[in-house]
Parts: sequence; C-alpha cells; structure tokens
Amino acid sequence: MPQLAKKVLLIGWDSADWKIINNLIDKGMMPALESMINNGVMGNLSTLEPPFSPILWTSIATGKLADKHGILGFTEPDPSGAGVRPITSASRKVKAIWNILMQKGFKSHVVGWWPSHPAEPIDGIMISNHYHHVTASQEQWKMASDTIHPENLSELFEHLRIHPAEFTDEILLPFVPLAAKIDQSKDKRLYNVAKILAEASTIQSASTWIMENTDWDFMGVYFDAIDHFCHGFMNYHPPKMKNVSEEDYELYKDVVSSAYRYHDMMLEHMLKIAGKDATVILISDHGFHSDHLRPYYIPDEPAGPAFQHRNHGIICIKGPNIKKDEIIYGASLLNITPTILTLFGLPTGKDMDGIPLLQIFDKPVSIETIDSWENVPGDCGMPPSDKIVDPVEAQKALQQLIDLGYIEDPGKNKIIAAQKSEEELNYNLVRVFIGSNRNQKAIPLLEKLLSSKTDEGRYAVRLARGYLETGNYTDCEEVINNFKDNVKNKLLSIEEINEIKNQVIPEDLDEKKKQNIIYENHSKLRKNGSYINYLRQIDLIYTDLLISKNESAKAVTIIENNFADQKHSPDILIKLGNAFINMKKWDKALECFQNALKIDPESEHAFHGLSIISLNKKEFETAANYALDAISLNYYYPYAHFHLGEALYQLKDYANSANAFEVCLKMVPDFGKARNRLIKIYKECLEKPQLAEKHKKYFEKKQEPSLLDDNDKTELYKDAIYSTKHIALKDPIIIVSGLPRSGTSLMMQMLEKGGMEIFTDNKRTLDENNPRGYFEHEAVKSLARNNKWLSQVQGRAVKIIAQLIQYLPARYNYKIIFMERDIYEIVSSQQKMLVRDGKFKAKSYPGGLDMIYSKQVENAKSWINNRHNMDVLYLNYKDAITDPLHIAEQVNSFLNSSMNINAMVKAIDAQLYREKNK
Amino acid sequence: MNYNTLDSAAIIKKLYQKKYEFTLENGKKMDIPVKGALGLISMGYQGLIAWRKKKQESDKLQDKKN
Repeated sequence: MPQLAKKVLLIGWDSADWKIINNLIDKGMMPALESMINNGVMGNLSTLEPPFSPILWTSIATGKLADKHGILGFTEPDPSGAGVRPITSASRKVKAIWNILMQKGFKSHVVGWWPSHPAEPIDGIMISNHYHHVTASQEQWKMASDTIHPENLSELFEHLRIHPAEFTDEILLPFVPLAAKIDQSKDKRLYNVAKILAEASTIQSASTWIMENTDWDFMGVYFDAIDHFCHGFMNYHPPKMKNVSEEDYELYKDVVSSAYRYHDMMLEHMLKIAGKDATVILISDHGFHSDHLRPYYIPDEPAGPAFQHRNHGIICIKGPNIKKDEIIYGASLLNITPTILTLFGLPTGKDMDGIPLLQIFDKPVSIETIDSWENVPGDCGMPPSDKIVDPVEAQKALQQLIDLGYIEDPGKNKIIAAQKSEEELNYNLVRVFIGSNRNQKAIPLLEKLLSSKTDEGRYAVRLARGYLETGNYTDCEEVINNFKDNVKNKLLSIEEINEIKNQVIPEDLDEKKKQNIIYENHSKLRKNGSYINYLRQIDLIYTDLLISKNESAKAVTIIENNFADQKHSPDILIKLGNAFINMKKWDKALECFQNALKIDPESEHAFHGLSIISLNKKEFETAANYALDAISLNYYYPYAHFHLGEALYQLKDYANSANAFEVCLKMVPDFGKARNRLIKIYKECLEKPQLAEKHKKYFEKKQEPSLLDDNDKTELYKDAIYSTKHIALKDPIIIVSGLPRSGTSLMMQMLEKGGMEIFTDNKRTLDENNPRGYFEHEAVKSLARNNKWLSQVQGRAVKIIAQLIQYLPARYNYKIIFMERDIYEIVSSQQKMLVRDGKFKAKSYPGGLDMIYSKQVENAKSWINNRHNMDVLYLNYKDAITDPLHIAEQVNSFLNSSMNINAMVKAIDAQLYREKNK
Repeated sequence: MNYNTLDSAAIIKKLYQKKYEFTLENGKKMDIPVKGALGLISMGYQGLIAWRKKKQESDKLQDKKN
C-alpha cells in the first residue's frame, strides 16, 4: 500500500459543533478553520453511545467500540482499594494508533489525550491528560508523577504550563468584556473562564514545543476546553434562554464564541508549524446544543451533563492526496484510526469496528487488512497494566470531574464508591451494546442492574426499550408496569414538596448541619424530579409498544393528552408521526415530521419518516432522497438504509437497492424483510442466484446477531459510496451561474417572467445597480458548509455565483445556465456598483481582478464538465440584450420547458446594458 | 533524536536566551505587551516565554525604580 501522508497532525476539539462554527465562519471570525475547509473535506462525525469523552476518544484512537477497548467511563474502582480513581490508560485493553505506528517505525507524540495517564512509554513524547488541569494555587501546583514520558522532559513541560493566576484583564476581557462588574468573592465563573483558558493554552504550549523541536510522523493533540466552556457557559450563549437572568446573560454571553475564536487562533499556529505538506485532521467527539434545542433540564444521574451533547461532531481533513472543497458523508469516530493507518500505507485490522474514509481521497485508494494489530509482536509502548497511580494525585483529577458534573461526589465510603463506579461501567457497557444494535447482549446486563435497583428509571427505560426492539412485548409491558408500581409510592405529594421548599432552618444550628439539611432537601427534590422524568419516558415507551402492537390510535390519544406541554418537542412530533404512519394517516404524519424539521433541521428520524410517507405515496425519488438525508446525518441508521433500498427497488435501480439492503443487514442481520427483499433482487433482477442462496442460508443457520461482519469491512466502504451517489431525479435544480455582474440577475428575471418558480428570499431588494432585483437567497452564501436547503430547490431556479458552483453535492441533477460576459466589462461594472454603494472610491479597486476572474470561470467550467449530473448552457450577456428572442428560445429548449417566450423577451431592458452604452 | 537524553534545564535556559520577534499580518513587528495578549499565548510556547521574559524585564525595571 502506498503511503499517502508524509506526516499526520490529529487535533481533537472536544464538543466542537458545526452549528456554532458555521455561524462564526460566516462572520469571518474563524479564518484558520475556514482555510482548512476550503482546502480539504469537511463533514459531520457521528458519535457513539454513550457519548462520554473518555470512551469516545479511545474509540477514536483505536477504531474499536468500548466493549473491545475496555475504557467504559470516567472512573473505575481503584485496584489498591482507595475507592475510585479517574479512568487510566492502563485500563485500555488494545493498541492505540500510536502503539501501532511505533511498531511500524513511525514516530508519534501525543498530548493530553483522554485517557492517557499514566503516560505511555512510546518511542516519542507522551503528555498525559492530567498535565494541564489546574488543581491548586500557582505556588502549590505540582505536576503528578508519570505525566510526562520520557521523564527527563518533566521539568521542561512543567515549566511550559500556564496557571490562571498569570492572566491579566487584557487576556480575559475578550471572553468577559464586563468582567469589572463581577464580584469574584461570590461569582467563581470568571475564575473558571481563566482556568479553562489556561488549560487550553498549556496544551498549546507543550504541543507547539514538540512540533517545532522534534521529528514526528504522527502528532495527536487533544483540547478539552470547548467542552468545558460549553458546559459552563452555553446557557448564556445567544439567544438568551428564559431561565437565565439578564445580568448573567450580559456578563457571559461572549464566552462560548470567544472560546471558538481562541481555538481558531491556536489552530492557525499549529497549521503554520505543521507545514503545507502535513495532513491535518480536526475532529470532535460529539457536538453541543447551542440553539433552541439546549435542554432546560439536566437528568439527575451520573454524567447527566452529557445530555447537552449533540450526536454530530465535526471532521475536517486537508493535505496531500485529499479532495478539496468537498463535503463527506457517513463518517464516524470509528473511522479515524483506520483512516490514519491508510494514510501511512498500513493495513486496517479486521477486528476494528471502523473502516477507512476512502471518500476523502482525490484518487481511488485500495486498502489492505490484517486480522488484528493486537497479534503483531514486539514493543509498542503500551502502559504496564499493573502501573500504580498515586491515590492523592488521582483524587485531584477526580475533583475536576466532580466539578464538571460528569461524576457524582463518590463520598467517603470507599467500598460504596467502588461499587457505584463498577455499576456505572456495567451500565455504560449496556449502552455500548444498545448503540451498536446488540440488544440481545444488553438485556441480561440490564435485567441484573434493574433487579438490584428497581426504582432506577434509566435501567427500566432502557430494558423496556430493549424488549420492545427485540419483539418481546410481554416483558416490555411488565417492566413498564413494575416500574410505575415501584415509583408510585415514592413520589412526593405537593404538600411534601412545599414543606421541603419552605422549611425554615434554625439560625442557631452550626453551618455544617445547615448545609447538610440544604443538601438533603435538594437531593429529595432532585430524586423526585428524576422519578417524574422517567415516568414520562416510560409512558412514551408504552406508546411505542402500542404502536408496535398496531394500537396506534390509543398511542396518539395518550401522547396528545399526556404530552400536550411537549407538543413542540421534535421527539414527541416524531413519535406522533410514526403513530400516524401506522394508522396510514399520511397527511397528519407529514405535518408532524415537517414540524419536527422546523424545530430541528438535522433530525434524521424526521427525514426517515418523510421517506416512508413518500414511499407510500409512490414518490420514489423523493423517498430515496429523504432516506439519503437521514443517512447523511447518521450513517448507522439501518431502517433508513432499508427504506432507501425499497425506494431504489421501485425505481428499478436494483444494484444500488441491493447495496442499501446489504448495508442494512450488516447493521441488523436479523432484519428478515430486508433479507427477503435482497434474495428476490439477487434472484429475479440481478441474476445472481449464488448471492440469493447465500442469504437464504442465513435463515437456515439463524446466526447470532452481531455487529458488522469483520470479513466484510472493506466491502462496506464500497456500499457506503452509494450514500453520496447521484440518484436520477425527474426534477432537476435549475441554476443560473456566472460571475457577479455577468447577467445572472437578468437571466433570473427572464426565467421568472417566463413562468419558472424562483428560489429567492428577496432579502436583497432592487436598487440602482439591479433595478429589477437580484433574485438571490441568503442560504446560497453558505453552500460550502450547508447544502440541505437544496432539497427545497428541485424544479425551481436559483442563482449561484461561479465561485460556489463546485460546492454542489453530487446527489442532485442540475441544469446550469452559465452567463458569460467580457471580463473587463464585469470588473468595470462591479467597480461602478461598489462606488455607487459607497464601498469603494472611484478607480481605487485592486488590479489583476480580470486574471483572477478568468481563472475562476475556467475552474468552474472544468468542474462542471467533469460532472455526470450536470447539463450546462453557456450564454453571452451581450446576446441576451441584442437578441433576446433567440436566447429565450434556447433557454426554453434547454430546460425542456414550455415557458412564456414573449414574457421572457419583454423582461430584457436594453437600458440595463448601461456599461456598454456609456 | 533520543528524547531520553534531553536535558530539561538546558532547554529552558536556551528558551530564555532566545530573542523573540513576531510579525503581524500587515508585516509590522509585534510589540509584546507586559499584560500579555490572547494572540501571544495562542502561539504556544514561543508567545508564552516571550511574554514571561517581558514581565521579568518589566519587574526588574520596577525594582530598580523602587
């Protein structure tokens, strides 16, 4: 296998989310990332279950799910009997990418990866995740042992740490401009800003030293600061949340945006040091709700704050052999390590749960596999499993997790603390199984957990769901009823709640006792809130059970009566939509899914629902597109693959249909309906009886459900291609393109007059420069990062300038009317327009624009000509003015339309050709 | 490079002996403010050491005045 990267820089930004980034890039506030996007590929990165950072970053570094890699939570029982300790690198059971690379002679350095303490003895520098956390005052801030490998560099890296006490107002004011108003003796939030900022800067300081002063092939750097800033300050981020005071909002509204901007500044320097020949991969493990979907309620359970996380993280890759300016679909955390192996020309382990992202490369890349990297002998720098972590130092690191709300304070009873920690690890393992469609493995563990804590809502909810999804309706109903019975008598009455809230604490009581009473009362109310929350969730599962048992009308009644206060929640709308689908009330279902998308435009379940509705309406192209929308948001969505397969089957695209069913079955092998359809396609449509026979045998063998078949990993990628592949559509998107001032508005005007529906928001109104209007839409400007709106344009015309044309996704058909005009006339016209608008002084515009524009037009034309899904008609602006009839007829014929030619001709106002006449 | 033989103290000493000059986007030399700046620390160790050196120089000057 050829090596495709000279060196690889992998940067992790925990919790980074495109929603905030796109907004900042549009405002020009993240130029470094913008340049990375323009020179590479970008996309969503699907997270995994449970979305807890130590688990996720280990899956990123190993390409394996947590049941294989062994990191199952934030803490683990301390083998020395000291209660619990933060999860350590010693608990990782498999090789990380740096261990594999070491065995193949590549030099790796790793900074801050979670979890990487104690630092692993790799053939390079490793700085553990305990390095940067500020745990004491500046004078008392000592670095824990085993933080740095090799140890002789400890003094250097200890010196390169930054303590928040070093910061001045100059540094903090961009985050909190009104910091002077804060009484820091009462409000610790400003200190927290300084602390998180210092921790990020420490990682940057150590990383830049390593990158500039040592040789490296692989450099992995992990920043946790965006996650910490978001957990602490996202509720103050605009728009203001109802439960946030005006004063707090004004003080802290800039923190999250500033955090992103600061990361962009750090990125700029890292890119500079890495050099142009480096392959740079920027990722996050999950996103973070930043808009109206921010939760008002955080569940009262361990790792509750993870409720604020969003399912999609970010991925952006640039470097040699990587495509430019493209959006990739279907990437998951599990793909990162296999992709890095491919970049270094190394085979992927068949025991890895992920596959390489071959769609990022600008030419076809073949991959190889080996059974497992675990079997490759020799030193790989893994930490010895018996490494003892100092319990005092472990306690300091533990406090950080408690402060962030990721874990409960384990208390002083070490035995109970260790038991609780073990229980959490088991529960997280359950979530790993559920998240990878292995309900059968999760159910016995859940049964055991619930039997020991019958009122634990999260266990009951997941067990009921597990039974439901495996078709065991009887046990599902029993869990629901038992949980309700168990909790019913534990709920506080209104009188009891009021009594707790109004309790007067005697003033003469000592402070500790007062605090205990307050804590106990708070705990009682939180516990009660938790019961109420889980009772509602269990009620919702009951409605799903009813839907599964074809009692949808009853389900709808329950939802409408009991969940009226949540009628605007996407989850409730999707549940209702599914019930209406079951009742064949298509219009009502359609309304529910459309409303869900208005609230959350990235709801894969809503797109999936729309796909099912379209299938039933026999609108197969639309159904396929909605299924693709769902898949592009969450590739591991077997039912969306199934309905895509159904739609393609109806469209007689049998090869792609078979691919869709194959992917679906690799995710859910027991999905009989999909397998039956596949057998039919292979037998009757594709004439591949041997493949039909292979699937028939599955039924005979009744294999145990499992995750992806290891031997089929490489084939899965081939299957994955179809999710971005062009699917024939009856209604193409009509695009009017060209350079600004080349006559694009004029052509839009002709189309509108001719009867074509135009995609415009009319935000840019007519003016002296374009007296008939611009016919533009704001969404077009962000085409490079967001193309979802294109689904609304089918059969309509939209204006997209030549520079943006290359961002059009491959899955639609396009008819492009490309307007051409003399470059000098264009430059002159633009200059006059800017002078008229007061943006430029006359004759002050930069030279050389004509050459740049010519090149851009050339690039756009070459790009269009290489696409199979684009028809193009080149028209000259001058001809449109001088011979509008001929042009109108040409356009009408090109679009296979029957437009009003006379009206189109009348749309031409010769006076518009002012530049020519002047 | 053998990382096991690197001497931290010697590296730190060299870091403080080095002269730091940073250039702004407009080509002008960047002044290192005593109070520091986000732009400076975002650069990593070079910005950090340059700032710490500046503070040390400023403190020495202050001590002399006093």
